[in-house]
Amino acid sequence: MAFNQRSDFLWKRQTAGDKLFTGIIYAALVLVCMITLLPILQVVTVSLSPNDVVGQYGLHLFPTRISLSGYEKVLQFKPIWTAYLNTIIRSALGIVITQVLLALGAYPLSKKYLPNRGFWTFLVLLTMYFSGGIVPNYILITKYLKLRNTVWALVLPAAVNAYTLVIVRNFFEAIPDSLEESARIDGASEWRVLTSIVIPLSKPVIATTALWSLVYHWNTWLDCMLYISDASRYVLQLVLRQILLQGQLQDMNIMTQVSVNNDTMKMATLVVSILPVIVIYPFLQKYFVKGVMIGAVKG
Amino acid sequence: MTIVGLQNVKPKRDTLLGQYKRHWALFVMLLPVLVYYIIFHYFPMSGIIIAFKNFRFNDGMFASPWAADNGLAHFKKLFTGMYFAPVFRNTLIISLYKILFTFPAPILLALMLNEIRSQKFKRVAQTITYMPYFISWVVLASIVIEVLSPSRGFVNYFINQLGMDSVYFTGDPRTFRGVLVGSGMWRNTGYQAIVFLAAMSNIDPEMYDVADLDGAGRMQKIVHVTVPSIMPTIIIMFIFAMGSIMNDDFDQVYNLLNAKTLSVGDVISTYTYRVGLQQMDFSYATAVGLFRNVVSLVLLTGSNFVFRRVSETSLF
Amino acid sequence: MRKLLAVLLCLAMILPCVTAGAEEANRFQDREPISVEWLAYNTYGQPDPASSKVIQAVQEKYNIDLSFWFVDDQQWDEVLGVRLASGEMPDIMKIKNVQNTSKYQQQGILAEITPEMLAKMPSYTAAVDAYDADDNIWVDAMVDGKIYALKGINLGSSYPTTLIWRLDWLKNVGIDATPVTIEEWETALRKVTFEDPDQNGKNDTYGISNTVISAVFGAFGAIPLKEFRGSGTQNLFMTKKDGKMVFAATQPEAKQALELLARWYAEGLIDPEFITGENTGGYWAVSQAFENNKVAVMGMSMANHWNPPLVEGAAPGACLKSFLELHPDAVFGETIIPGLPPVGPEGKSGTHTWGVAGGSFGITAKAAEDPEKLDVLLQMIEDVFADFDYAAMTSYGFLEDNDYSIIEGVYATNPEKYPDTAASTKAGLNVLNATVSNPEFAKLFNKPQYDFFDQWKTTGYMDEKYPAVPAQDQYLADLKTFTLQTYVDIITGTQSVDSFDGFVAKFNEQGGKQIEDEINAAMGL
Repeated sequence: MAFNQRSDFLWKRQTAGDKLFTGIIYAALVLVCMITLLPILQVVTVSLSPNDVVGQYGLHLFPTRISLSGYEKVLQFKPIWTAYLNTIIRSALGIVITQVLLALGAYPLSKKYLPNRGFWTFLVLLTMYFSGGIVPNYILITKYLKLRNTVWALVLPAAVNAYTLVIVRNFFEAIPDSLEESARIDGASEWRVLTSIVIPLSKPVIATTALWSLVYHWNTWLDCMLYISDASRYVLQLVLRQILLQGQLQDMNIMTQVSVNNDTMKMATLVVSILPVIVIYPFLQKYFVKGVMIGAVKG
Repeated sequence: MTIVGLQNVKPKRDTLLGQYKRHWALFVMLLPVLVYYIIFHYFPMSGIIIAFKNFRFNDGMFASPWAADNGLAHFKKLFTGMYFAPVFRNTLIISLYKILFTFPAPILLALMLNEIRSQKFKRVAQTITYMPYFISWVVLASIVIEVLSPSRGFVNYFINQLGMDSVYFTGDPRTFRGVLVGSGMWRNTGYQAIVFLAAMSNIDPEMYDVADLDGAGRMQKIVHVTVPSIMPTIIIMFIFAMGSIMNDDFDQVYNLLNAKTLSVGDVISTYTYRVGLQQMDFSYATAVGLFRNVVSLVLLTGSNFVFRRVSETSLF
Repeated sequence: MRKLLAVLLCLAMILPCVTAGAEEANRFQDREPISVEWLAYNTYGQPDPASSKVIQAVQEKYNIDLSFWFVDDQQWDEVLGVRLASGEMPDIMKIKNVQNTSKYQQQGILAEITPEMLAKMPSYTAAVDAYDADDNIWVDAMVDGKIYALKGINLGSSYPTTLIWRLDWLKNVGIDATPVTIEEWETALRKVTFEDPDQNGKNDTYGISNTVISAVFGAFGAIPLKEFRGSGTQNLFMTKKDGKMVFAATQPEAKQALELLARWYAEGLIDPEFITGENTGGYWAVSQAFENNKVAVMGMSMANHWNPPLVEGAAPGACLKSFLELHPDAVFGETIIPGLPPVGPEGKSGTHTWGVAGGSFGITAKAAEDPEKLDVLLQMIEDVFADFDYAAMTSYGFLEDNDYSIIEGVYATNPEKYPDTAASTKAGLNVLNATVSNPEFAKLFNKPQYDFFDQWKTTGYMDEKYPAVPAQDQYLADLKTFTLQTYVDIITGTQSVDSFDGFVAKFNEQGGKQIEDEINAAMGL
């Protein structure tokens, strides 16, 4: 608390230069927000507009007339509710497994006294650059591990990504040794240091990597198409793709009336699919507040 | 058990076996991760062999016959392709542009967000900049084409207002790389800023207070406190960026590329997609992947070497 | 009265088939059920045997257990390739890209279609032969002189793609009818470009965009490419010259067309944004440039995309429907009207035509190992061609379940029950007919549709079929890119028309000639 009070006190005494600086930053951020908001406005507006508005050239940033037909069509597609659930299960399972393995892997690799540390790190990094491609992975998962039609086929292959592991390791390394020393002098084991000091101090990076996992599991569908044949286990993105693909195929089969898949429906599909991942982000932001980590220990 | 932490302070020459004995707990922790990598990465890695073979589905990967030219036929096809040289060059140039312009953008955004005192504004700005990342390139590319259209895009509307002629940004070889870099930034900056924001939340507030007492202005605090504190993260991200120079963004390029901009925008992934995967040629695709990854690995280890010399941070 | 006639007509067709079908069916009931893995359908969605009455009826009829592979159409080669590469196979599969037929054959995926097998499908074989006027229908299904794929027959695809004009624009600039000769076209395009045909007071219109360019090539004798956008993944079309197969892209006619197009482009008659596409979203056959008053004429769509409701209560064609949303007052025949492709100096003309036998599907080596399975698969295909009732059921479902309705002889899927193709595919509609149909049945399902097709039929160029040859693997991908790039550069004036000669030389040197030679050798020309 004492620190915060002093900060506030100093904040009031900012110079004219500081004020100008603040002004520039706010202006720049407002500009950046306006530019990045553009595609979102376009997607949301198209998803809410009738076809005759959507078909017109130009951007559609604000709805002129509202039509919910796109959402009606998407939401009446019954499999999406099961698919939502499947995606949530997949994501939750994926995040938990990834976080556990990340902590277990990053902690030893962050310690300079791990024997052959360079070698182990390189062994992990090498997997970023040498991969046998999709066929051997498919054979491994379906023939050897027999994971077809299980959620494990979606969760295990991407459990620990070398890139993420190194970034977490880096955060662990940044934790001042002094904080761990006292615990060690009290005889704490490595396991205790990890669980009672390192992990509580690493909430920002845990939040970041958990978000990465969530985004990965939320958006990935190719593995589901390969490994899951039971339609009731499909993930959201795969089910939505089936909606989106109609109207894209240039086939000449005129025996059925071709249903024209319009952009309204496509964008409604997009909104339905990304809304949860967007909504969750503000809740994670409390872990990115300045000083949250050190404050937690000292406080 | 001995007091483990002290070994850190007083390094002692030890046999390797002795080290493992002493730090067995640490190694046991690492073990599940190593097992994971062996099963899910090193085992399928053997599939790289098909880059040197003519993969026949019935024979399997190992029994398939070796490719012609001592197994190098697929590499030969890649390197002697009519478009290999321009495509390789385009990939490098676009990636270097991206490192130059796209890499600093999320750092800058994170620094700006970090200076915002109003939590509400910060939260809103953070969320808005994060959102475009979730729009796929198929959709985003059509928005980019619309925004930049010479006949109806509003960017050209402003250009016309300034008394200049419209520019066909997405259909002109002179501007196309700029479109790739700019649209990539547009989509990804907010999302990429998260890791830097996470790094900033690790900074001890006391350091700012000390700087205040020294009479540092806000700019000086950024330069002398914030940036040095997140430098390890910046360096790691930079080394990774160097290592991904060969990994162009297929979805982005593929959805924006057209006949006029092929000469400057065609990259390895779009090129090999046309040549290989459409024809189920896994051997060729694997050969391309192998070539790409060897170059990437060289770039990664090279930049890692440099940073290990000039800073305390490096990957390994 | 007309309804009654149609029903009688149908009955007359059906009765003999029904009795034949009943006899056939018995031989399947004596054995154990066979499991069949099915991929011979357009994967708009995944068929669900548990809920689909159509699938259940077929399973019962042939005493089989069906399971369906779902392969995303946009990732077809990647996903199917992975599964095939790891040793899995369906029993019957759609061949999305016929050029891959030889790949599948080399990898041991496809079974040879022997004359004995064809003999077991007399109706199918007869239907194919009836449309094989040029005696080339099997060319792209063959490898080394043997047939490895069954050709799909689709009557609608035999009609050329249509050019649709803004007749109201033409009238506004003082032209009464759609132009025919190249000279008339040029005059019309010039007027609609510069004389403000939409009367909005702005000089913001053009004559044509991407989808009409191929018809201009048609005026000179051959179409080299279907479209002039994207990054070069489209097939290069071949044409026959002096009895030999040659690439249309390297012929002198193409140079004449390019010269004309370059002139039109320079004059401003062609929308410069044709490069980034005329279709900027939504359904593939829609031209946003046309709907948004930017160009006067568009191509690529089929006549049935534009038909007004043919019977009471029916929906208009997909493109007309979309056009009407932006132009509610538009009337087919007055506002918009199909026109003729431009006729060149030597009287040649035509638009791109998909061809009656565009697609293929194959029976896999796995299925061929089991004689009983093979027997049932062949019978299923034969019945689609021989048995009107069975064909109707696999395409439309059950009348008593309200899956479809028959109004004035037109079969129409119930839009309430099946609002989109994902829903109808899930219900097994148009899945077990292997996406093929007997042209005679097709006419019975929707006679007014084909009458409409016939009414607006123009000249067209069908893709010349050719077998896959080894040199293609080596060179074709680069040549596709090279051709598209050079063509667009010449049209837009980045390269001179005379650079065409250098293009031809380099094209042939970079493997073009070798591909032609190998194809001609393979075809015995």
